[in-house]
Amino acid sequence: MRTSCATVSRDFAIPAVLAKLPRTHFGRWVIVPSFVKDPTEPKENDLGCSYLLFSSTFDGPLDSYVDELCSQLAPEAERIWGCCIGCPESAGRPGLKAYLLHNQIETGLFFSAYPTTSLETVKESLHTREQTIAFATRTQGMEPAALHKAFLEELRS
Amino acid sequence: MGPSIDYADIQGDILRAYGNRYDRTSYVFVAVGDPEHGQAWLSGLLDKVTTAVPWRGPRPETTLNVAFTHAGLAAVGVAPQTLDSFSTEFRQGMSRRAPKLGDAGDSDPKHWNEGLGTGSAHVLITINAQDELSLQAVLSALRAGLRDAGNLSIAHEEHAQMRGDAREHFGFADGFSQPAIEGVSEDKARGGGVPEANGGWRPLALGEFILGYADEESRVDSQRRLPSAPAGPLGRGGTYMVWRKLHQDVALFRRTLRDAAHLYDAGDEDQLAAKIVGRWRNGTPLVASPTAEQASFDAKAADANDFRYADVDLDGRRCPLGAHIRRANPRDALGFVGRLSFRHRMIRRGMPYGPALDSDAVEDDGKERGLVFVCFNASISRQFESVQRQWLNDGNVFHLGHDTDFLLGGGTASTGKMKVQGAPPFFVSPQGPFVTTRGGEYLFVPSITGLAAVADGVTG
Amino acid sequence: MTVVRSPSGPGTAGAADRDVDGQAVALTTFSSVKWWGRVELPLFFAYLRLRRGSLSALRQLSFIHSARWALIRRIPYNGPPQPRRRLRCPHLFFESNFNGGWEEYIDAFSYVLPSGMWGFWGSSYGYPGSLPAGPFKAYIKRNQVVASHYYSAYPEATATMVLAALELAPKVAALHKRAGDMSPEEFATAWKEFLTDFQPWL
Repeated sequence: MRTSCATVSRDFAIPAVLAKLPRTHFGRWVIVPSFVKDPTEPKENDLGCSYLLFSSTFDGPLDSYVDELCSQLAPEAERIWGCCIGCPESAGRPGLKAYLLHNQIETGLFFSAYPTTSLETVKESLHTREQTIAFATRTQGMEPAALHKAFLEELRS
Repeated sequence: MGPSIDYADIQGDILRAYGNRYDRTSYVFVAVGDPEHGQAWLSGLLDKVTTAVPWRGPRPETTLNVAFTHAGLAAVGVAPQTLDSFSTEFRQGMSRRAPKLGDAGDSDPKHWNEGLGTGSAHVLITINAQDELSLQAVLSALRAGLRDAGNLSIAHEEHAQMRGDAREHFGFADGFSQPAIEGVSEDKARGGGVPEANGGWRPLALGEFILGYADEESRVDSQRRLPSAPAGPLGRGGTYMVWRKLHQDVALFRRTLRDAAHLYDAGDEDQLAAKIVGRWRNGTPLVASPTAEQASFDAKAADANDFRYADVDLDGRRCPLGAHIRRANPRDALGFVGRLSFRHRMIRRGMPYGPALDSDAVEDDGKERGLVFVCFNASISRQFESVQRQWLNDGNVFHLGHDTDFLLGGGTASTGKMKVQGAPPFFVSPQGPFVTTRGGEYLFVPSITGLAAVADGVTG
Repeated sequence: MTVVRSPSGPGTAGAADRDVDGQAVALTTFSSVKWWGRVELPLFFAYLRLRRGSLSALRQLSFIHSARWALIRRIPYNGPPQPRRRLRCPHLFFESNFNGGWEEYIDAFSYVLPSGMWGFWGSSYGYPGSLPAGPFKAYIKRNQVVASHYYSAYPEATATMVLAALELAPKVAALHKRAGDMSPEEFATAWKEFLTDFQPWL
């Protein structure tokens, strides 16, 4: 659950790659062209350049997550953050990792409806639930013997 | 509380339920060829438009009201900057919003009746009549008027009629549950208003249904700002209208009920039907009377709709969580008393169309029948569309995942189901395409002043 | 005289689609924070972290998968050509993963959690209060940034479906364990009980 801001010099399309990071529940890349200045703000707060925000909700420790990001998403990560100022071009994965950690913003407060649940558990549970509902709907009115047999076969975990 | 209500300037069909006394309703969509002819024709209609002023003495034989699609406002020469001041969804029109509304498959606008959803329907004339004779007289006069005015034609017409037993085609008493409006229908507050924490009810602000008046948000606004409305004379005393022709496959519904009832141990077909709708066929609310229809139920009584869900039926064992009326008007069922539902109410004025299917038929007879759904609301997106998208075409807010309303949803190849809470729960499936959209339009109902301004060409 | 409120709602259709993945919807906002927010916000975050029950209303508004707030005091510097900038005021970053409509989402916070909204955005410049909802929605819209790419690992599942699944799955497994030792009649009874007891999760 970390955010990192890095500067970016132009718009580009981000490929759908986060599925390759199996600990990721949600993720987003947002280009922040500037901070919005509210009319009631007394002073200018111009950022001077666009920033690329990356935010992810994931399982487990940060350090190994960034490691995975740098290795599993190697070509894409280098391409995405390669557009950002200061991103090391040829330092490889350790360099990219250091860069990302340097640009990290600490979270103040995090809320999750299911904070301690891993992605794998979420997906397996969703699948089980879907199967169970389909089973319950299909087997209404079934004789006990057939029902029993079907349950033992079909709803094996 | 707020300014007094100018009934003489508000069109009657918004605040008055003409369907109760007039059992025939005809909808004529007129196409306007050019602004001059359109405006001249509208000028001639002005003094025939029925207002919301209560009648002293006998009621007229017929009523007449006027509404416009966005294309229609443009066709009669409304100024461009005024045209731009209408809401986004109204400007886009219902057919363009079809994906949001779930109008796909057989309900896709490309299958709609001719003249609907294509931009050629401009002005909707709604006529209510007490009998066939007076209806035909008005229709003839209208057609003659169109011919005389010139460069006007009829894009689509629909004729609806209250059935003998005042029920819609699936057999359910309908239309008697309406929002209680401050200053207009406060006597219906118990059940028709906003549920409050102490068990009481309060009526809704007029501005939820008529533009130019304070709405529920104005109440909590220190500056008492009014909701957004079109510019100029069209901004006050009018409202948005949703018109949808919904075909009903009565035979399929009956067969589905019959087949599902074989497996339903907790009751018979009538009970199952009541579980799907949330009311027994005569209108008795299921949550108030879960095991039997009340023969003495009087839909017109002031407290007919005085019921809530949170205190007695949070788990849906009386009225299922996904029952049609519970979805369409959750009252206090979404938690936090009524706070998540009170801004999504609508005034409904639908009428059934088409002949009844023989009472014991379970095969379709090929005749067209269904419901013309009509509602009035100050914001189509917040009221009609929100209910359609979040409460009818989805179930997440009721913790029902993606289950759609069993009556309305389904589409062409649905694997949908409905869960009837109980011991044990019962799953009704398959969900068929009981209802198909045959066409629809988003319309604007101007005030009398607004209508006169349109007819005079002075709208901006 | 009365002033007409501005109509609310997300931006152009194309932009709004980038914030969606299946049933999951992203909201990302930045707001500039007044000087006293530097103290109030960390305290407010700490208070909410420590008092567990304080987010119960958020939990009850069951359409949120997760949400995050961060107070940005400084922008990390990576050397030229990045312009060196001292933030004149801190910024509050907010992101959320939720289900349902944008309008209904903001309405829920307006009507159900007005004091919570003040705790988070009260110290931001231009915060109009969460009621009436119209100006609040306009404020969020102004401060909202649309994602370039949004991803959900289980896009077709809403938060309530996930919660239901997490409750149900172990119970199915438990029944499966016992089922092997039952007779068909015993199982039929157990299945009926299972459906009855766990129907909120089905």
